[in-house]
Amino acid sequence: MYIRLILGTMLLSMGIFLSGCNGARESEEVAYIVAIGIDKAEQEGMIKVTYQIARPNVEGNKGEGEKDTVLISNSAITIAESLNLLKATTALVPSMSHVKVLVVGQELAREGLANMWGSLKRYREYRGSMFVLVAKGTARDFLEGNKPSFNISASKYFETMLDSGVETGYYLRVSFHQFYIRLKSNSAESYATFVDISNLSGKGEIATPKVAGSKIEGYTAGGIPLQGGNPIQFAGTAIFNGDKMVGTLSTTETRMMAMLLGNFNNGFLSIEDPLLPKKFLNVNLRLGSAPNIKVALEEERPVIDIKIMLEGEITNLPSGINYEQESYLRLLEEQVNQVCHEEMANMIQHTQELKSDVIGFGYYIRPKFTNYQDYLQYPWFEKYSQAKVNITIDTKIRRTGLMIRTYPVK
Amino acid sequence: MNDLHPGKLGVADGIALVFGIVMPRVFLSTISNLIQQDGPILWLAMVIYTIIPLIILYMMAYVHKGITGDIFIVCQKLIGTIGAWGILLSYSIMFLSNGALILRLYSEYTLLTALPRVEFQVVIVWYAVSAGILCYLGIEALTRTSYIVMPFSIAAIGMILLLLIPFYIVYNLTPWQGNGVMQAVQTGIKGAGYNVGVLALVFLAPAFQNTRTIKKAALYALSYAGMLRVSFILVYTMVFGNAVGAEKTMPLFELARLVYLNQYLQRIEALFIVVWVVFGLLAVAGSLYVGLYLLAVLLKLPTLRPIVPLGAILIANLAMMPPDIGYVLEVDQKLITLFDVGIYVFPTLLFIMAWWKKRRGKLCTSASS
Repeated sequence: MYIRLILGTMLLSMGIFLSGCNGARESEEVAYIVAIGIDKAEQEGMIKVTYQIARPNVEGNKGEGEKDTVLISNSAITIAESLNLLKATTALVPSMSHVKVLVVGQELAREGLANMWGSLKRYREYRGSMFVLVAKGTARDFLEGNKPSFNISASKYFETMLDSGVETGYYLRVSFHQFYIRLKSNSAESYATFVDISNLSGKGEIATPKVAGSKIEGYTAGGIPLQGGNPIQFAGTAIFNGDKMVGTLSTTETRMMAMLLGNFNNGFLSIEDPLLPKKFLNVNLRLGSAPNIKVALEEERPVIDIKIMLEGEITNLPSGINYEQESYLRLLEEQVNQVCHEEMANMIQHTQELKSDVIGFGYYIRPKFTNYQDYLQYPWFEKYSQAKVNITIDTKIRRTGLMIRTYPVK
Repeated sequence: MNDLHPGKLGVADGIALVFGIVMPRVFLSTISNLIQQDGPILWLAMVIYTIIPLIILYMMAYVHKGITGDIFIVCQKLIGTIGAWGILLSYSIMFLSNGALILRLYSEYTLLTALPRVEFQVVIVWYAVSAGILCYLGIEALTRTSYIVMPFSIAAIGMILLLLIPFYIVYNLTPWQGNGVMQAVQTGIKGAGYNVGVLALVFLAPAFQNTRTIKKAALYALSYAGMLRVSFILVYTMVFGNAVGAEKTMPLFELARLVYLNQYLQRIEALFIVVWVVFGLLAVAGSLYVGLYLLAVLLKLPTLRPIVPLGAILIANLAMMPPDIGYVLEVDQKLITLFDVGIYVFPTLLFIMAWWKKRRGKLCTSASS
């Protein structure tokens, strides 16, 4: 009987004293960091780390012009030292467990990030689910320029913004885990969402010209013609070779990349009317099935065969030509095929020139090898730039929207 | 020895006991070391790793079949008193060192993941006391607690593996032969020692209803553990690949941390830590119980309870000895040689002796056994 009493008391005491509550901190004592920006510092060999820290009492009673976050930057030799400096200079205890995005300045990204990722992956407060962005200018400027138009918190803004990338395919959401495994993989190169601040002048800067049959050009972040709203832009993709950024893909190129990755949910395509090229028409596209990719290791150079199945819905037909009819529909499908084929071929050629297999065609060669050592010895990244690429796009316009025929305007 | 041999344990108790002892290594760094050795074919090593202990268990059940009494009597009849002492003492050391090692690893990982500011000794003592209490309450309390926890643990792990579907890269499982089929077979044969826990069923045989119960329990426990391990390895390889997979200290914790379906379904690892800690506690308690049971049988103690606190203190002290986590992992890899002796050498020796004696008709078997 006594032994049970003693055991019961012991268990209860342990529950009370060892459950971790003695180390707990109230939320107002903690500085929750929602974004970290990393740039090259002015001093040689140093980095400038910017922390976007949430102000816990702002949500709900935010005054006019009042920001719900505070930006603090410091320069240090490592991220860990920068964190030490932050702890030493703020009253609240910084916590990295709620970091949503990691923004790297383009200059630093082009120099290489190998030394940085180790601490981010090893220290338990950083999570593989935070997203990686590369800022065209500096990360500090990007975070400073972020002024969400709607009354949502900074962390929710980043999360919602990155979620909505799938609605167009113009930028891709990349988690730190996805970025990191590609950094260590022999099958694919890393990529990150490309971001910048717009001057809101309404003038755009074209990154990739429109292809034959298309009505749209590609932009990268900062180049989208924009007036009003939040000046920061998520557009395009920063692509890497090893740990170094080597270039960017525009919005149209990123959409083709999304199709090849199987991540293209849907997006509008504006193309020339096949019978009246001065007119345009819109199709809402989505992937009809996962991309069918095969890579053959020919003696001279690898051959990549790509088959993409797209499904679409007509959303605008200003010409009045009755493309809803079976005979005309084929013309429309062919036009979509041609535009996507050319955009995809250009995008792949661009990545080949930059020697960066961001699509991950290297994954498809793995089954060709008997064992892992043979696979590791095959210089895929070198061979990729010489690979021959065959693309087949097969579009099926499944629906015609809420109209079954179009009468021309008088 | 009534409280040592209740004779009431059924299949469910056996399953829970073995599952509780052999499963927790999935949560630890063992998998990271193995994926580095074998590459994408590690799953095959896991299949072999599961089949071998099952064969050994059936061999030991054959040994036990013709002789009435506890494991000491069985060994004594087959290889003499000194041989029996040697074997049982070795097994006791194996189980106690396994308990100490798991205790240290779980304490380290608790500090790393959940309670970074708590003193290391406090966590070790906490685990050791809890495991001690479980042991003190007896084998029935231990196995039935384990049986209650088991479905929840399996469901939790299964849920994590399913929620990670968006991160699967099936091509990471290729080239299919990984670092070589023979390498995987070797790993499977060498690593089978980590399943030495299955022999707990044979050691505690008098506590079970009959030999059929033991065989059935072993079959189910190893099948469940094997299926879970193979599924886990496949998902782990698909999600992290070879290079990153070999970097991780806590494979399952890292998988749980990755779950991100949307803004509302993420950060589930906090819930998962509870399951993980319970698993660790049961594994330490199970190993401690079997280690102490073998000592009690050797010393012909009427009950286990008085030596439970001593055992708990012993494994807590053993667990605190290694200076750092790197050394612990090194010991873990070296300890497998000892476990391999436990899974291959002794059972084979006992099996050959039993077979030889039966063949020569020297063994007296009673009809009741």
